[in-house]
Amino acid sequence: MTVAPTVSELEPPAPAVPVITIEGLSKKFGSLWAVRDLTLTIPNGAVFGLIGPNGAGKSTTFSGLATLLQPTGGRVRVAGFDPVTQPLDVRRHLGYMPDVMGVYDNLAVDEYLQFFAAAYRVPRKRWPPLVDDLLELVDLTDKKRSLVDSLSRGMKQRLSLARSLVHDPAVLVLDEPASGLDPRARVELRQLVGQLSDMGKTIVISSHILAELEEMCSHVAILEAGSLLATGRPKELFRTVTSARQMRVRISGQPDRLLTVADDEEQHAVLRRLVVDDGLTVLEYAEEVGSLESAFMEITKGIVQ
Amino acid sequence: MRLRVNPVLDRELKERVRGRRAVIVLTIYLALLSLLVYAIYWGETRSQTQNQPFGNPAVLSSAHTGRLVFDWLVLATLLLTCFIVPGLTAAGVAGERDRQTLVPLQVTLLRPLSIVIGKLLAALSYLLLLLLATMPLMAVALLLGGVTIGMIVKAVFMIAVTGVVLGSLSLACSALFRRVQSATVAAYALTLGLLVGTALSYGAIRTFIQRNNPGEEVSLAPSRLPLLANPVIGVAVAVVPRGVSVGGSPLASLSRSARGDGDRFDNAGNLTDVGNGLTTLAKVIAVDVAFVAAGLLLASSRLRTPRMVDR
Repeated sequence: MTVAPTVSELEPPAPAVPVITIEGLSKKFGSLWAVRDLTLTIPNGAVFGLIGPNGAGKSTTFSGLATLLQPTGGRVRVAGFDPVTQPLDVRRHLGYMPDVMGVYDNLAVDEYLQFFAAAYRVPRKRWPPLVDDLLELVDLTDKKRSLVDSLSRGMKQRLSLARSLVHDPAVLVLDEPASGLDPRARVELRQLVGQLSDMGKTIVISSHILAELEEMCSHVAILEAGSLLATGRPKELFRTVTSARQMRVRISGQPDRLLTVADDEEQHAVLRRLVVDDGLTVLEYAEEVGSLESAFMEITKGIVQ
Repeated sequence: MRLRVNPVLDRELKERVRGRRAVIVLTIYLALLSLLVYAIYWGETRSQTQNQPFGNPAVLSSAHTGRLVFDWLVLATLLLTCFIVPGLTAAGVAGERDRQTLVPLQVTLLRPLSIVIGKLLAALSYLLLLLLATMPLMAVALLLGGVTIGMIVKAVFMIAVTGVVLGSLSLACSALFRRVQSATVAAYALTLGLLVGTALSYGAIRTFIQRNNPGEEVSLAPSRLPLLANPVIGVAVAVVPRGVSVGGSPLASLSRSARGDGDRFDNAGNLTDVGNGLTTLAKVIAVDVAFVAAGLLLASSRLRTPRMVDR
């Protein structure tokens, strides 16, 4: 099992009742482990980001949460229910938005939502206000009578989000909701996630792009090749992973050197050794890449080639 | 109390009536059947007139014409049903998979069986629309005579039963195969098997029995077993009562084969299959019910989640 950096105790764990617990989740397809011994606790009210490259096991984990896949091993609880033995109870409390959104031909936006309201057994007389509220939430009110097929990708994505909300679930699982969206649609999506979080929903969201999530998530977990690499609040995670930084040193008359330093102390020691002990002329000393993105690259380095 | 409509049925119907295909299929369907009715009527009256030395229309056997029009109309309606129903249902589950709409559906509170039944009912409602549109043509036969309303009701009922059978089996194909194309091919192959395969095995088993028991007194009843699954036989048995024969009627002779009316006195004048208590029609319906149950259960079991394998 991967030992993951833990969330610090700086902030009091406010309503930290776990809504989702994943213990030792494993899923094997043939001889390939899609998820291997994954343990995660997602507290109530969190916006939990799951980050990893394609094939890291994000969608497989989500399929396990959303009662679609039976795990090879391990235990999952969503709102206290087991997706394998109590799928209907889980479905009542969970809204799931898959990474791909299919649409029906010849169906209007409001009818699309009504269909899913019916499928979630929402009483018929509650459909009209529900549809109006959802469309207002995702800003599609003026598209109410348009055919689903005619919507733009961003709109479809928002409609898909509205669909996953028809039964007012406490937990939302969004699989790569931002993929393929233009920057504007991404900002809108981020605002929407913030709004839903304010409404008290626990949101689990995945992406292969760290930058997409770092602003909106309260917690982040990094997944690679089916295993958990790191988890924590975004800032702390950043601190943890950037403590081992790559520095590029340009030295007069020599090829560039790449140095890995663990902390400031080591950094000073390295510089002192270069300049004072070896008597070299350091032309430039800079962090090789400085963003959270590079931290992510650092963490996931060497696992998938 | 408000009747709760199956959401899948509701949605499929909305989609269907808005699509162009529903109208086009109905038009072609009616055009073909009208043409057929006219051809039978024209051909039969012409041959009857030619056989009358004075060509007097008054002595035409109107009832015989009516009966022929009815038989051929029923047969054609049935064959068109066999052609249309797999097309309506084979894309049912595979199509949702293709359009990536299946997963959102599977995480709702809908049970897999309701999804499958919703799709079956949607196909069946369209089939009922087609059958309703056939009624004016049936009325032509009724007007000519030789046909009772009871026969029309039975024929339509059995065609609808055929629709349910083929629909269920096609939905099973649709759930078993990942892609719409494969599911469609499998559904039509299965339909062809029921139509032609059963008839071929009927012949094969008869030949086999007769060859292995030359000159002996054997029951040919086992050969009629596969015929019970044949949609055409089902309709023929329902429409033509035991022991009736009508010259030139395709259904009457089929009905006789299925019941073994011809076999009865085959060898030494002995009755070969009496006394099992069930009428042939009851057997046909029992086989149909078994097919429907198997098809629906197979289809819904493939939709059940969580699954061990991905999607």
